[in-house]
This record gives sequence, C-alpha cells and structure tokens, in this order.
Amino acid sequence: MANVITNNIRKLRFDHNEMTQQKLADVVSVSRQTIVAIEKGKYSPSLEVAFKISNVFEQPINQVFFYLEET
Amino acid sequence: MSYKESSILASLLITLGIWGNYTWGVINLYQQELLSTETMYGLLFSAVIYTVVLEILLQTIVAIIKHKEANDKSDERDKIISTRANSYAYKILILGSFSVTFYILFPVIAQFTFSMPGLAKEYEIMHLIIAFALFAEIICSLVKLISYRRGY
Repeated sequence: MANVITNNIRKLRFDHNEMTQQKLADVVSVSRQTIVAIEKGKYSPSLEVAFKISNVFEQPINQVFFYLEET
Repeated sequence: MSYKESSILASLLITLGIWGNYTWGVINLYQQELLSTETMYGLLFSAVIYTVVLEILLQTIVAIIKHKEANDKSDERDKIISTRANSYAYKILILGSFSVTFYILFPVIAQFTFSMPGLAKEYEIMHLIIAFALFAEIICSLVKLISYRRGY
C-alpha cells in the first residue's frame, strides 16, 4: 500500500490572478523547479513549505494538500 | 532540464569520459607491458588537468545557458536529494575503505582480486582508492539525476 500526497496548487495559482510558479517560489523561498515538482506530485514538501503555500492562498492546509491511501 | 540537472549531467559525463579514458589507457599500457610509474603518472596528471579544465569550461557554459537558475540557492528539495545521494556514496566509500584495509592486511589473497603488475604496491592501493571514489561519485550523480527526474 502506497501513500500519496496530492495538491491543487495549480488551480489555486490560476484562481489568484494567474500567479506564476516563479512568483509562488519566491514567496515561499524555494526554487521554481521545486514548485514544478510539488505540482506534479513528484515531491512532498516539508510542513513549513506546505504551511507557507497554504498561507499564500489563504486556505487551510487540508484544502491545498490531500493525503490519499493507494491500494 | 533544469540548471542543477544539467550541471550534474555535465560532471557525470566528464567523470565517465576522462576517467574511463584513463582506465582504458592503463589497461592498454598493461597489455603492451609498458605500465610503469612514469607512464601511469603521465596518464594520471593529464586526467586530473583535463577534469579541472573541462569542469570549469562546461560548468561556465551551463551557467551561461541557464543563467536565470544559476544563482538560485539550494532549497529543501535540493538538500534532501543531495543527502540521499551522499548516503549511497558514503556506503560505497565505506566498502572502499574496508577493501583497502583488506588489501593491505592480506596482500597474498588480495593479489588474486586486484593486481597491477608493473606498479609498486602503494600505487595499486592508490588506484583502488581512486576506483572506489570514482564509483561513489558516479553513483552520487546518478542518484541525484534520477531523483530530480523521477521525483523524490
């Protein structure tokens, strides 16, 4: 059984005046490549970065990141 | 491909190319019965010089091409990937240190596993250390590349 963390950052970025990946990366102090990897589900960020991203979109963390259990 | 991936790939290709050529050169010298400390020194110094020059040249070119990302600081993902890659390299280096210790403690048994006729024993040990260091470096680069490509 594999556990997966997904997110809707891409949708939230577009809902926030089409915020660019670079802009989000600058705000949360990571590289644009890391934002790309998070959006694609290739990297699960630390709690600190996850909270920072949630704060940028003014959403609770469980509305940005989702924990799924794969069977 | 990002700046970091390009930079790692450039280093990997330099390592494989130059040190592969060095290994091939040593094997050729051995087969022609020309392997000696002098001929080995010539190959070794040219390999080191080529590595330094090509690293500077290729890393500069990569930095120019990917200039937007070149000045980015390492973030948490870079550090995690680096830590993961270094842990693999560390295991190989530990294996290398045990192998060298075994080689020094049991020379009679060791000569059946790794021997370079024509060279003094200390140069055989040096090559064993270089081989494990290069193997560790290659694995480290490969783990980083795979982690950046496939995710971690």
